[in-house]
Formats: sequence, structure tokens, C-alpha cells
Amino acid sequence: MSQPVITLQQISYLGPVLVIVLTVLVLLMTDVICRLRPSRQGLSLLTGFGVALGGSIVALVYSIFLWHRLTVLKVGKLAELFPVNGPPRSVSAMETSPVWSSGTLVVDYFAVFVCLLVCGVLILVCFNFKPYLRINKLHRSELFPLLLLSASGMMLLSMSRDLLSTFISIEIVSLPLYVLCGLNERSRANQESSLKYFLLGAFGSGFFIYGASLVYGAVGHMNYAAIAYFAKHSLESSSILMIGLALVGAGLAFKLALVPFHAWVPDVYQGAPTPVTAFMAAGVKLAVFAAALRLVLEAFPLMDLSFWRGSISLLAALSMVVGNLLALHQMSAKRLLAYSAIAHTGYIAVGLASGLSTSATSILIYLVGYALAGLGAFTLISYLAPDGQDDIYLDEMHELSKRAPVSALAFAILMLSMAGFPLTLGFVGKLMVFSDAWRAGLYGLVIFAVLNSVISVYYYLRFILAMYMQPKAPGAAELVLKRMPGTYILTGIITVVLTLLLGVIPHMLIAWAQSCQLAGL
Amino acid sequence: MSDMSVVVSNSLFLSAVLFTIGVLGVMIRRHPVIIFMCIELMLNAANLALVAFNDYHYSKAWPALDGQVYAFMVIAIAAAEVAVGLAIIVALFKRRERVDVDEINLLRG
Repeated sequence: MSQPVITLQQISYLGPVLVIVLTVLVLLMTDVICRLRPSRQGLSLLTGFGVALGGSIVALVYSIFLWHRLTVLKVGKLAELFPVNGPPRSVSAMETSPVWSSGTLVVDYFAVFVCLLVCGVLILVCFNFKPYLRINKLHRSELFPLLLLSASGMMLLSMSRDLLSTFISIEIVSLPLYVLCGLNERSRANQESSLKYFLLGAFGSGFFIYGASLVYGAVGHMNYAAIAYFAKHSLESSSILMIGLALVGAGLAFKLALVPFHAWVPDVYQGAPTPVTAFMAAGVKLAVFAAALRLVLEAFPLMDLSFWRGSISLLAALSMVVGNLLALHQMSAKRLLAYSAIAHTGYIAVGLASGLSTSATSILIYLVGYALAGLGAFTLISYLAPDGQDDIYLDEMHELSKRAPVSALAFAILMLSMAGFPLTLGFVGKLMVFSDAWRAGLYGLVIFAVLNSVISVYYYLRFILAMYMQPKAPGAAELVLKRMPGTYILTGIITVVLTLLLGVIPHMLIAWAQSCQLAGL
Repeated sequence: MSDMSVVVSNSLFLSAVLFTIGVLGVMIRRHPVIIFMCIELMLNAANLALVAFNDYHYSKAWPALDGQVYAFMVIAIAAAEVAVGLAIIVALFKRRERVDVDEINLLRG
């Protein structure tokens, strides 16, 4: 065994993560120093926001730099960090020399692209938080550090190529989010959401790590390369490996909210502060799907695929139908988006089930579309929500198009993108994911998914019709419209413009996403 | 896996039992702290399995202690989870006399 050496240059490829973590440390330390002053005031909201935003922008620029470097060097990956190698012990006694080698973390096109997206989501969520904290009078200096820590976990998650580092990254993502959900200790809904998210999130982690330990037992390593190698060379099919991977899949399904592991989603999404919900919908989904993609494409391809395809397809079909049916009669906008998030997870899982090498491209495009629509919609919800309610209901939205025409139009466009109307990014994403599955031969699943997206149009249109067509019922509550804070306007414009622009001319995004191949083993 | 020693196979059996107790406990018990303890039981079942499997994989030709190192990582993660989880539960206790997951039912539908 050669001693693994990690050079400074290799560590510099982790730049986006390091920048974010450094920003967290700076924020925490300046907060402590600020509290030493006679006034004992922590870091002000504006400073915290500024530093967090600065850090995220630097990380974004760093990711673009890494992307540029990848294209200049014409390599599939920049670095494999913390390499491990060796024969899985259980294969056979004949092979004793190291025959495979793989990094625990890998910086390839796919990881850098996900880092870019996470930075983008982070910036928009920071924009959302500033007015939210001011309006709800929450002076929490630990908020931005927690948010950034969670984002750093998302970046690591996209690089992980090992069940253990995936587990640790998932925990880095989740632990700050549990706290963020309970941001407002005066709000019962926040606390409830926090507790439910924590208990079910930790339950899911338990499944994941027990499954990972069984995989370790079968293979002798937790590395994806080792799993793939073992599956190829092992003579007997190992039931322990199968059970282990199934439990790992269940753990990931908890985090992704695939039915039947979805029970926490509606309560957590509805009860959490709206910007945190936006972060969960856009960021967590993106990162965990990135991890699931890497697992499926790197560790599974040499295995008997039909079994995995079958089980992922089943979960996808269940998620689509349960999410859509339960969303049909929701009155609360946040709860509606929560159920629709379950359905969207189902659509993306269709892409996961196809397991082609192009799946990464289509799933990333779908996730970009979903993240933009989700971020925009939750921004508008937190703008329109009455004080102390942090949510809007269908009957409050009647005639909104007359009173707030621009917000209503933006909301309508984002809903249409979620429903998958042509000329929006949501349509491009759905088209690519479904055509992938069609090419993989999953005809029944694709037809089922298309039927489901038709059902989903009903509940998105219900909100749009309420805003545009239906007169206000006498005595119904009316939203009090305030001046829209500048950062909300900015987030709204960015999300709506990108949704339409990339929906009409998606070529550039598709070209980028097409170069996002996984580095392979 | 016929060449497994008695100690290893017994430990694995115990870890499977612990994991099952943990899963059932999470589903059956109603108090958040007990539920949380059951989750810890699941993580510890994984630790036990990791250490046992390490013993099974250990050989003169390949003297790796991966499983034991993994177990330490899991312990560290579990400790972080305890810190966050107990804080959340204590914050709930402050506002109500009883904490029972059946009574935490503001959000539904």
C-alpha cells in the first residue's frame, strides 16, 4: 500500500467548500467579538447578510474557475482526494494485489456543476432571508453560518464517492437544517416542524448507516469503485450486499421524500420558515439527487440492473401518484408545494430509474428548473403572507391579479413551469427526463408519469384561476399588500427571467449539463 | 460466509437484533426522547456491525482497520445528532408541560 499524499493543489480543488467553511468561521468569530462590546449586541443582520453573500459569491466564482480549468485541461476530473485502493477481501484469495483505486471525494464536471448550482441557490436564499428576518423581527446571528454550513455539506455530497463520506455529508446538510427549521422559538409551527424533521431525518440516517455497514461487510470497503468491482468479480451473488444497498436506498429515499418515506414532508415544509422551506426544496433535493445519481451510476452499473430499476420505478410511481392526489385539495400554498415536491421527486426518480449515462444531464436540468420555480414561488409566498402567518391560503388569493398584477403574473409563470408547460424550463426538464426513460425502455412508467403531470396541472391551475378569474367571496380575508423588499424583487426577477429564458432557449444549459459526465471509475 | 468465527456471527446477530429493536421503538414509542434513544440504538447497531465485519475482513495480507475507523466516525456523527436533537426537544419542553408526539399535531392535512 502506498502512502496517500495530498498535495496543496488537490486541496485547492475543494475551493468552493473551503471558501464557504471559512466564511462560516469568520461569521462566528466576528459575532463572538461583537458580543464583547459593552452593548453586547451580536453581529448585525446587515453585516451577517453581507459577509454570507460575499462568501457565496466568491464560492460561485471559484466554481466557475474550476469549471474553466476542467475545460482547459481537457480532463474528466481534477482530483481524487483521499484515495483508497486494494482488493475487496471477499472476492477471492487469488487476487492480492491492489487492482482498483478510487478517491473518497472526486472533483469532476458533475461535482463542479452541482457546486455552481448550490452557490446559486445559496445566494438567492440569502436574498430571501434578509427581509424575512427583518419583517419577523428575528435577530439571529447564527442563521447565516448554519445556512452556509448546510450548503458546504451539499457541495461535499456531490463529490462523495464513498458511502461513509456520503453519510457524513448528508449529516452536514441535515443537522444545520434541523435547527434552521426551528428558527423562531416563538412559533409553535416552527418548533413542530423542527422536531418532526429531526426525528424522521435521524431515522433515515439510521437506515443509511446500517445499510452501509452491511455493504462494508460484504465488500470490505464502502467505496463505490469497490462495490462495482465486487459486483463484477464476485462469483456468488451476495444477499448481504443487496440488503445493505436496499437499506442505503431507503435512507436516501427518506431524505428525498419518496413515498413511502415521505410522511415528514408536508408538515416540515409547511411549518418551517418560508426561506428555509425554499432552501430545502431547492438545495437539499439537488444535493441528495446528486448523491443518488453517483451511487446509481457508479456503483450499480455492473449489477443486475433490472432489480434496481424495478424498485426505483415502483417508488417513483408511488411518489407521483400519492403526491399528486394529496395535493389536489390543499388550501395552503406551502402545503401544496410540499405535496407537489413529493410528486416532483417521483418524476426525477423516473430519470434515476433509467440509469443511462445521459441521466445525469436530464436530471440536472430538471433540478435547475424545479429549484428556480420553487425558490421564486416561496419568495412570493413569504412576500404575500400576512404577518405572523408565514403562509398563504387559496381563498386569500382571489382577485390578486387586480391588486398585485406583477406578483400574480410571476406566481402564475412559476406554477406553469412546475406543471411543465412548454416555453418554461420545467417543460424542458420533464421532456428530457421522460425521453431518457423512454430510451431505456421504461414505456409504462413514462406513460404513467405523463398522466400524472396532467393531473398535476389541475392543482397548479387552481391557484392561477383563483388569482385571475374568481371574484372574492364576501367576508373572505384579504391580503394586506406591503411594499415589496428589494431583495425579494431581485429573487423574483432572477427566477422568472431564467425560467422563461432557459425554457425558450435551453441550448446553452443543455450543452453545459451535457458535459457534466461523471468521471467514471 | 461459512468461515465466519462464532464471535463475529454472534455480534452480527446482536447488531441485527439491536437494529430491529431500534426501528420498532421509533415506530411504537410516543415520547421524543425515547424515540431518539431508539434512533441511537440503530446507529450503535451499525457500529457493532462495522467492528464485527472489520474482524471478519482482517487478515495478515490486508491488515486494514477500516471498519473500526468508520465506527469512530459514526460515533462522532451520533454525538453531533445528540447535541442538536436534545436542544430541539428541550426547546419544546420549555413551552409545554408534556411532550408527546401525538400532541404535536398543529400541522396536519
